[in-house]
Amino acid sequence: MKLKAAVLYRYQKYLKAIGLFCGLLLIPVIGALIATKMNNYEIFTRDSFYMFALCAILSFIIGITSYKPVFKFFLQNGVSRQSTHLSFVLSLPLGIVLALAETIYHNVFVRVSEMLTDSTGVKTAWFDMFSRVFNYNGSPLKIFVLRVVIGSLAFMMLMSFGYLMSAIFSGMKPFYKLIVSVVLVVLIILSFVISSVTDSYASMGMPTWLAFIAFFALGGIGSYYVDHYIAAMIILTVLFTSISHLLIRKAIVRK
Amino acid sequence: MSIEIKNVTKKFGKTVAVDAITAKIDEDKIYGILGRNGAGKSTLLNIISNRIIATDGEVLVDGEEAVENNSAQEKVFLMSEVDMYPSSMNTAEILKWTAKFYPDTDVEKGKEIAKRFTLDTKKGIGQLSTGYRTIAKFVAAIASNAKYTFLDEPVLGLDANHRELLYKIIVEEYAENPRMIAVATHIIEEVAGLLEEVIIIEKGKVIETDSVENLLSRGYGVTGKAELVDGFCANKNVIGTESIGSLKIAYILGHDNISEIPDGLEISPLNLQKLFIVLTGGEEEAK
Repeated sequence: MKLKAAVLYRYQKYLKAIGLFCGLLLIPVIGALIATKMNNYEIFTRDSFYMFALCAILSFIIGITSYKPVFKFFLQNGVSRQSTHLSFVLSLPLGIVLALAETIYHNVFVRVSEMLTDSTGVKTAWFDMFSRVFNYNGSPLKIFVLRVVIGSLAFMMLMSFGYLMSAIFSGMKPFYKLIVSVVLVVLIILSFVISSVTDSYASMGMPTWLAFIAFFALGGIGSYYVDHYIAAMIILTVLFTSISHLLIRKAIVRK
Repeated sequence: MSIEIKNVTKKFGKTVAVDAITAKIDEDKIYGILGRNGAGKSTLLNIISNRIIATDGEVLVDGEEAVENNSAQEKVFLMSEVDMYPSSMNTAEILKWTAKFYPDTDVEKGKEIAKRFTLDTKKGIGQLSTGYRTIAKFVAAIASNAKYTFLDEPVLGLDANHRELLYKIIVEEYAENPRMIAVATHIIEEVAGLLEEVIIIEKGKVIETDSVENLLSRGYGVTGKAELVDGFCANKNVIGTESIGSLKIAYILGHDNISEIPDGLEISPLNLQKLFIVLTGGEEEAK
């Protein structure tokens, strides 16, 4: 009963956020399409990775907001810590919904922009970041499925990562929060420095965090395999959710 | 059927907030969990409701372990001082979700109570004043119909009218739908009339647990002209006095010479708050 209600709560909350996000995403997409049509200008030469990046940010935000406020709300309603954590794990498949939405958006955007630009004689230069990174090809259905799989795993990993970060911070006293924040800022700055050195990642327009993951998960520069990626995402997701579980077992609400 | 608290201890670092408490809370009674600020009332309630985990000991709800047990916690509802609801959630949504987590919840009853308090059920809890936030939490607690409903400082921020209405609703609710309702507070005077049983906590320990009737039978009050009262009280264990003009009331522990009440003095029941002050050593501190 409690677990079922907890899962239902998470799904309602996150689906609302995803729905709102998809609605908002339409604005720049439609805007760009109209601009292209009006200007007869080739503006679709950009990588669709930006849409993916926005979904990745949303996943991370969902993860971060999934811990403290939900933990408090569930404790108020007599939900055990175990069930609170399990309900989060059971909500991870929402990453699939987000990946599906992102892939559908991507395809629709590409097709419509092609139609629009073809009618004006302007060629589009769309390319799919994933097909470029992983060098996959095949039927459109296979590519569609693969993109959804790649997106889902990344979004689930990011949700668990955000959740873990929030679990770590919620349990900390203000002084330790400050120390960790400073360390994180230093790490981020360092990551930018490192990514500027590793040209091959930077040239692909990959953000630093993905460059790091790619570096460790895909076996380094020049060797990208989907199976490596899938394994890395699953391992990271399991790792993050396991550590969160350890943290939530004795968690309490601080005033 | 009851909640059994067995030798429960909670330490926060070196501070012992709850010190080996053993108590029993029976169903279908109105309890007062009384104690001074920082006595350990809220900590004990948080342990019962699994919000914090005891360092030692156990709590059983109808024989089931309370810690990390959804089925035991389905019978326990704690309305606490701390805001546990998302600030954007309104009372109508709180009631909707309470019904999902507590199957016996009566949403309509909750809405009715909210109406009596003129609480706007569509306003996010974060936008409400302290008093109305308290009311929103109280509405959820009463509507939940949980077998063991704990109200921790339920009148926080309420004005006199709302406080009276809240106490009235507790009594009405108990009459219509008997269940255990425990009020944890340090404002004894207002709740004294509601309570059947009392658990008094001081410095993390239970120092008294008894029915209000038994507690009040430990002494009596005498009312009359100040000089008469003073004369009668000589060599008696007076735990408190109040004066209104030339009239005085003295509260006396024990029943020595109660049959020798002189003319002009009247016997009245002992005052729970005065007894509480004596039991918790408050008056000595005040001196």
